[in-house]
This record gives sequence, structure tokens and C-alpha cells, in this order.
Amino acid sequence: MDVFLEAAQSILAPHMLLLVFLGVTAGLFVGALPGLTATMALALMLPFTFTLDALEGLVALGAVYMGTIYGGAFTAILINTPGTPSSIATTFDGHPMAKQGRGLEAISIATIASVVGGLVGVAFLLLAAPPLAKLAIRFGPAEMFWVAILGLTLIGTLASGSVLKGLLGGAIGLLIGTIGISPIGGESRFTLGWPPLQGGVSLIVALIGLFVIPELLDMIRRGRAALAPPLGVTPSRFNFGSAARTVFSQPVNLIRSCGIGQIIAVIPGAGGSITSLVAYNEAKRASKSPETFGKGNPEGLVASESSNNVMVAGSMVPLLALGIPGAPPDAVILGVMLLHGLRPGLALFTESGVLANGFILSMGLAALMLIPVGLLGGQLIYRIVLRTPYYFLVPTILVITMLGTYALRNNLLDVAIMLGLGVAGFMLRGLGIGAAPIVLGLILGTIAEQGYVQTILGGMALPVPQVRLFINPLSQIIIGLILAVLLWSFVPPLLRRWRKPRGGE
Amino acid sequence: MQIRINTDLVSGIFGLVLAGLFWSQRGSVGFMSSVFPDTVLAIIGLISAILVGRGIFSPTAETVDLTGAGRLLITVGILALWWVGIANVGFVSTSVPLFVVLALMLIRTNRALRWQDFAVAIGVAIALTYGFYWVFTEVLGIRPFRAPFI
Repeated sequence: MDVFLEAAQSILAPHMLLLVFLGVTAGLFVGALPGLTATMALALMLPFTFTLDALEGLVALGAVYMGTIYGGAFTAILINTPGTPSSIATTFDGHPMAKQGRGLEAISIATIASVVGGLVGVAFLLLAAPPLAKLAIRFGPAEMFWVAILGLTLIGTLASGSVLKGLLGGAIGLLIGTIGISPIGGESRFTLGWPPLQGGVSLIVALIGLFVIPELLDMIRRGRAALAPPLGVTPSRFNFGSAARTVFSQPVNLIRSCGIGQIIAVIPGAGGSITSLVAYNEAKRASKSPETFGKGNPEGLVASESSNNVMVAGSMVPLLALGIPGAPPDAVILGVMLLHGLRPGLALFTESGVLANGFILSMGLAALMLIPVGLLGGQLIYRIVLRTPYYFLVPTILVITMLGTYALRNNLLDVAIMLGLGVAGFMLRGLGIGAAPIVLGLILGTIAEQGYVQTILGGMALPVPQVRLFINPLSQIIIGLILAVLLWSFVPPLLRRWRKPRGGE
Repeated sequence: MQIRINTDLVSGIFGLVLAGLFWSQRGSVGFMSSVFPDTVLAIIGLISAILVGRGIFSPTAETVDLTGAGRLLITVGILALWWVGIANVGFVSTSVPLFVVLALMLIRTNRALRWQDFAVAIGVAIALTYGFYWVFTEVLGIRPFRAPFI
């Protein structure tokens, strides 16, 4: 307890509070720029922490992380472009709310849900790190493969009107992810013999191309602003109290989403994009009005934003307990720890208890800081988007996306891929194949491939090596979940079709 | 203008063509590098075949709005020019004129252009393009594009 109090005292020092404030503010604005992810924000901040001591550096990066994941919701809500992959599910209901003139309401709800999620994640991290880390370590390659397939199945059934087209989109994403050097065999695939393609298609490049460019092309095609509410719709006034009432009037949704966020967060590599999609799906499934999801239902927004912010602290469980990053940005935090001679594991809590607990508590402080920073910053960004004429906004977003895409790897080929995927994504959207399944396929491609190939290699002694994918009990549970999701999607429409002729008789 | 198309059939054909293209580019890679993409290609082929089947035997047409298709084609051309320009001329020197062209084209969809529109568009284009370029290169430390001009 002394260690805990000492940690609390150290992070409440004025300079620590300032670091948290600056970190959250910087993270919010970086997260709100399409293409600049939490990993990139943390990587950009890394050199600034060299002059700080270990706790200060970790506190600053933790605050940036929290701010970035939350900031991703802004563009998801206002311009239907997830600032970070974790905000994909936020677009489903957040952007329809903005189109109905309820953008500020959506931002306020996202803020409070994010704060709740952030605090729950910190509480979990403090209390449940060791037992959850033990569960995470039981996930082998086969389980990781099935987790990836579960994520794809969920997005395939959620983000598209047709399950088959959703699944086709996910498979296209997996295929795009195989371009470049194979993660296990180490050979070039689908590069047309062109060395620059060996690096593959970057996730962020695809994210920008498939989400931003089709939206801009749609605005250009329609010849009027699609970012802001349509003409004639007056933006609603909304206050913090109303948003808080909306969020806290759904305790079951909040608890369920935070629980889902925490469970998935401890699975190494699973990340926030799956977390928010699973939570969104469960919220829709449990809702009394599932037909309103995707049309501006705050329940979907609460599920997505609370679960992805649980993930920020939640994914630190395997990092702090085992040294395994739960999500890509955690790898940067691991780098800072190693830089200061800190080794994750039990020793971190016993030998550097003040530092470990101080870091965890500072993430709770960062979550609370989202309220003032987020609500003020949210209003500012909302007004900028609303008041800027769309004929300037469209080329401005193009300039930012081109620079952001180039900045990822200083590579102009990435800009060409981004533009090409954008035009292709626009046409595929017309066919009913959305961007979300393709991007998620790309995110999960590496996890799925590594899990698949490693499992098959492990099963080479069997007559059919693929059988190895099905024999672990944990794999069977995940396969059961996948089948349940598919049945849930296919059976009700088939039953409706079967009943229709009978009703007509 | 609006047209009605069988999106199941078109999506299925697209999937089959894509799978065929990737299949033809497989080359001679080892088992560990090929087992996963081959499985994905088989899955794409299967889903696409089902979509084609559904498109033929249970056809449903969906309305696709082609309003503004001309503007779209011009924009795709502008995007291609933009990429060629930043690679061979320079980011700011390419982005400013294309920003202006795009902005004026969008203004013109709602009303006739005035001379003030040109002046405002040029001013905004220079300020925003150079501003963001400066932030990325000088503040964030991103290495500038390798081109003759900025």
C-alpha cells in the first residue's frame, strides 16, 4: 500500500500533471488526423522522452496513447474516417449521428464512454494483470488464427448489407496482406518482380486509401458537403450532462463492452480494432432496437468507444506481466522501458513498484483528462469541420492524406497505392463491398498467416496437417463462436424467406 | 443518371478475376510462403462463385447513381497528375495548382465562378499547402520529397 500511495503522490506532482495534459492534447490532435496512428504518435514522441526519467517518459507516452485512441473517434464521427484502426466501429453510428446534425452529441458521448473505458482498463490493469496474463499465454498459433478469423467473420457480418460480400471484402484484405515478403517463408509474393513492392501494403496506407479517398470522391460526385450535416439540418446543441445521462443509462452495454475490451486486450496482437467490433456486435445483438444500429444509435457508439479505450490500459497486461506487447503501440512503450533498463515481469512490480504503479495510475489520470481536453478540443474540431467550405475541405484533406501517407515510410509508392486503393474502394463500395472488412483483413492477415502456417508446420506428422487447427479445446471454443456468428447472420434471413410464402397462403 | 446493376453478379465476377490475377502471379514459392495465400485464393474463388450463382439464379438489381461521374473522372485524373507531379516537380509546386483546380471545380457545381474565387482559392491553396508541408518537414522532421522544387 505504501508503494501505491508513493506512486499516486509522484504522479500528482505539478510537472507530471502538465506532462499528462500535454500528452493527451498532442495525442488527441494526432489521432484526429487520418493516417497518423497511436503507434506513429508514440514513435514520434519517443525522442522527446530521452531527456526525461523513466517514469516521466512512460507517463508522457501513456497519455499520448490514451489521447490518440480517443482522438481517432473525431474523424470517425465527423468525416467517416477512422483516425486509428480502433475507431472503425465508431464510424458505423458516429457518422450517421453527425449527418443528422448530432455530431457534438456523438463526440460528447464518445468522450464519456472513452473516459469510462479508460478508467475500467486501468482498474483491470491494477487488479487483474497476473491471472489474465496466464490466460493470454494459453493462446497458441491455432488459437490466434481462429481469433483472426473470428474478427473477420464479425466484420463481414456487421459492416456490410450482404454477409457474403462482407466475407469477400475480408478475404480481399487478407490477400492484399500477402503482397510482399512472406512472414514465415521469407519469399517474395505477388510483387510482379518489382523490389519496391517487397515491403508490402502498409496497413495505414490501406486505411487512408480505403476510408478517406472514397469519402472524398463521394463528396466530389455529389457536389455538396457530405462531411457536415446536410443542408437544412441544424446542428443540435448538446451538453455534457445529457451525454453523461445517455452513456450511464446503458449500464449493461457499458459493462459488457468494457468486459469484452478487457478480455480481447490481453490477447497479444489482437488490438483495438477487433475489440471495438466485437463489442459493437454484442451491443447490436443485445439491443431492443438492432435495426437502428448503423443509423445513429448511441448504443453502438458507447460500445465501440468504451471497449477500445479499455484496450489502451488492458493491452498493457501482457506487456507489463510478460513483456509481450498486447497491441502495436505497446511495443514503443516496451522500447522505452528497455531503454531505461527496466525488464517487464514480476521484478518490475517488486523492484520498481513505484514506477510500475505510477505508470498505471497516470493512465487513469490521462483518461480523466480526456473530459476537459476532449470536450474543448472536440468542439474546436467540430466547428472547424462545419465552418470550412467543403470545396476547400476536400483538397485540404487530400493534401494532408498525401503528406501523411508519404511520411509513414518516406515512400512515394505508398502514395500511389493509397490513391489506387482509394479509387478501387470507391467502386467496390458501389458494389456493396465496404472498406471495413478489407482493412480488417489486412490487419489480421499477418496474425492469421503466422497462426495458420505455424499450426500446419506443427501438424506435419498428421496425415492432414490442417487437422491440427481444430484439436485444441480453446480453438474449438473460438470455432464455436465463429459458427454462432455465421448462424446468427444466415439463419434469420433464411427463416424469414421460408415463412414469407406460408404467410401469403 | 441512374442505372440498375446486378451487384451480386458483378461482385462475384470481380472476385473471380482478382483471384485469377493473383493465381497467375503465384510464381514458384515454397510451401510455407504459398499455403496461406493459396487458401485465401480458394476462399475468394468459392465466395465469388456463390455470388455469381446467386446473381444468375436469384437476381436482384440495385440502383447506382451516376450523377457527377464526369467530375469523378476529372478528379481521378487530377489524383494521377498529383502523384506524378510530387514525384517529378515538387510537392508544393504541384499541390497549389491542383488544389486550386479542384476547389474551383467544386465551387462551380453550385454556382458560377467569380474572379474573387480564383484569388481566394490561390491564397488558401498556398497557405494550407505550404503550411502543412512546413509542419511535416520542419516540425515532425519528415524527410522532404526528392524533387527539383519544393
